[in-house]
Amino acid sequence: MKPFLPACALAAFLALLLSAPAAAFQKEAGITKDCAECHKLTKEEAGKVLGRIVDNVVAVAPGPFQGFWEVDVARNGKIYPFYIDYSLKYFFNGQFIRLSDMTNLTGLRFQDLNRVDVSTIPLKNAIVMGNKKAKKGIIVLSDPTCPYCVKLHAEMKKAVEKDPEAAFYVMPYPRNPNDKATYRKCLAVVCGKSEKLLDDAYAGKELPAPSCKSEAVNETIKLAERLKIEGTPTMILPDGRMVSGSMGAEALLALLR
Amino acid sequence: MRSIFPAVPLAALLLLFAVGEAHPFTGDGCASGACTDCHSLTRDEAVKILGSTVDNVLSVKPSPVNGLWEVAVEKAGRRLPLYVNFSKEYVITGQILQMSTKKNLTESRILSMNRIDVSQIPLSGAIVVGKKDARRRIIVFDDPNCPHCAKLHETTKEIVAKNPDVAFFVRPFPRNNDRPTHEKALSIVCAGTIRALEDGFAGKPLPKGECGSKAVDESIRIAQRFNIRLTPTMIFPDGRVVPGALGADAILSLLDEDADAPQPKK
Repeated sequence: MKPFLPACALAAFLALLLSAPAAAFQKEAGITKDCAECHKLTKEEAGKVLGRIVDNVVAVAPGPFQGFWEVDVARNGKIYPFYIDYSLKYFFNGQFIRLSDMTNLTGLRFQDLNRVDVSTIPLKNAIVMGNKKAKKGIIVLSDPTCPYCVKLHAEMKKAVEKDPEAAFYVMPYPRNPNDKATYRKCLAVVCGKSEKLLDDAYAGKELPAPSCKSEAVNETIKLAERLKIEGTPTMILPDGRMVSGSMGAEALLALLR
Repeated sequence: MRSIFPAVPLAALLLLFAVGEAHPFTGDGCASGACTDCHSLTRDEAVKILGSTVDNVLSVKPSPVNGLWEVAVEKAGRRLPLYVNFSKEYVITGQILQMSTKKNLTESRILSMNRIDVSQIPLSGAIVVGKKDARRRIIVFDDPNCPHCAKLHETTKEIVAKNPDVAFFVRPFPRNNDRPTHEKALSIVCAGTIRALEDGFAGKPLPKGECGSKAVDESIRIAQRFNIRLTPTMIFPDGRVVPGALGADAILSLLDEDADAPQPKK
């Protein structure tokens, strides 16, 4: 009678089975350190297996929960998180959401992966709302004619009333560079450098003609191009994360904490 | 050469593993039916977990990916799959691609979940590309003024030339329901020829449709009922509704996936 397997192969087989279950079961018991002990994926390997689906893999990281790798792919100047499962058979283009608090982990990762260097953003022409001596504030690129910007402006006013430490650096930004009327509005606010003019702009009031020939609005347009900002309002947080859209005063203050 | 293990205990040992801890780690885990031995997710649980983010939970089943449930939900009148992990702490919304085939598994599930009852769509009044009695019939909603419809039309001619068992039943459909397009669609229906359909696409003048057919109004009603808004839209024999001017290969592969098509008669 012949054995199915030579002895050493059997030993290897058993070792394989034994080591894997031990670590995997620990994880289920809540110890999360060891996915990487059994599962490995390098950037090169990821690039190879994903070659037919995406190009330009810039990094591989553990996924938002066990069983998945995060694969970071660069495209059009931004980095996007995608996922593959440990079997490397399936590719995920979607949002991973934590159910306990409905947090979009993919969205947070996207913000994190696309941080900008805040120190490279000149603030000399920004209109400061709130504490002018604040150590950190939120930079806001905002178009006075965009409805969500109008909404956000009102929320920022509430936020600085609630918290005397809060500050927003508003950079008027005509999202459509061909819209000369809005450009003039933005320039008028920058020239006046007053919160009053800013309020008037968002209230849709007539503004005086720009009283200066500042390059500030052009610089903001260039900044938006460099940072690949596509919509208004866009906020840049002190840690460099960019956040689009309007939100309530409390949420704004939470971003500053 | 002799083994240190006699054959029988070895078999027993392997069996033990197969029953015990081997399951989660034998590559294809869920495909073997083993995941559901330990993991479960009921519809009620899914309703509770997903809360008001969806309108309704239709069903729960293991997904193709180990460790994930596919939860079929309804949202804004549309059915789609979400994926909940076995620990029930996370949900994934989005697309799953099978790497080996590049196939979008989620998209095919969506098509399959949103099938309509094809028998509710009459074939009379349609312009037939291919043989009228072909086994596999695809209904096409075409706007006579839509360039992508003209493009798809060329593709359908290619397909029927090579695949005599496939036919396309074209329903001229004014998607914006404007008067001139409605009249044009009626002209095509009344002529009832591929030639008229092609003249319509080419923007050539057509004789006024005076046959009194209600086929165009019927198309508008059907489109409303099944929420067909884009042209071209194809309706496959099993009821999958597929918008867009797909290429011949894509159309044929969707047809081959069709599980509910009648078997060929021999």
